[in-house]
Amino acid sequence: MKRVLLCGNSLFVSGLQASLEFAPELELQLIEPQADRIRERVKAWKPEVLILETGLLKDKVSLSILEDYPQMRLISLDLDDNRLLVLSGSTSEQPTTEELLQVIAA
Amino acid sequence: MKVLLADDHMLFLDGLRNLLTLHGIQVVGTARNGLEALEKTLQLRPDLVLMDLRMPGCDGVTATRLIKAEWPECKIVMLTTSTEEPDLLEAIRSGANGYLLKSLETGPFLTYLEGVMRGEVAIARELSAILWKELASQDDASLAIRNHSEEADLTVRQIEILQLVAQGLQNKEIAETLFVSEHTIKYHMSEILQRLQVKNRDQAVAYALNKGLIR
Repeated sequence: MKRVLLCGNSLFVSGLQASLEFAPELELQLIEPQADRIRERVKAWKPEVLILETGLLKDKVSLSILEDYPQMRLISLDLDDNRLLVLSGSTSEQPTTEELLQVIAA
Repeated sequence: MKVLLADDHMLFLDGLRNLLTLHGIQVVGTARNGLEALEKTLQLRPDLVLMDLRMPGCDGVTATRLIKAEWPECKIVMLTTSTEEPDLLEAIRSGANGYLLKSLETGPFLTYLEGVMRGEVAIARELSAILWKELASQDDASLAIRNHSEEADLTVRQIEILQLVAQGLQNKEIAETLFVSEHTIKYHMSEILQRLQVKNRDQAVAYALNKGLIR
């Protein structure tokens, strides 16, 4: 089971929750889109994926969560531009070209 | 309640369909653009159409006009992210029965839809101020125009924009000055040209100066 934390209360996020509930391999939780609540929930539940609307990315706390939990994948959804942005906090010390190619190919 | 959804954003469309279904609302069809919405609405005869504003090819406002021309009783609610004044006003003029935002929470959204089915109009609460302002400005404009000209019918906002045009400002600069989007200014400029029956902004400024609408 992969833990997915959905942040938001809009129709968009609620709709996503309704869609993802059909995926048996996912365990979902929905929370209010507030930085401190997100941070608390991430700390307690340790989701593998965090999904939020792009507006929340402007809140730097959301990005700092990613820095604290580099293995977590952050998916940002933009209703206006119809885009999906995937961010990962994974870092590599003294990366090699091979590692860079692996990241590009992933 | 039988609903048809029209939106080009697949993730949103799928999610909304699943969300409505979970709440016992029957989604009878989906469309990815305005023309498809027109075709499916007339074919499937839903109780309500939830229409996105911006879609490729044929937008939501145009589709609403076309549907209402064919089937005036059809209930259509615009469902969008746009809080732009021109979008709201155009939607109302097209005959839409409501204008709601995708940022709405599920509970209030469903309440709005039930209201529309009872014959109410659904306007997102945060947008009601725009309508209020528009109505008020129309009254102000009527007074202003009566004082200056019997021919022109510009709103106070349009006269304000024209004044800035006369000062040599471009649309982008006017938008920044008035804290609105450039899209809004373009909309007002096209309305100004149409209402004054002139071909370009220079003619509009000349007309307004001549009539004493601006200085």
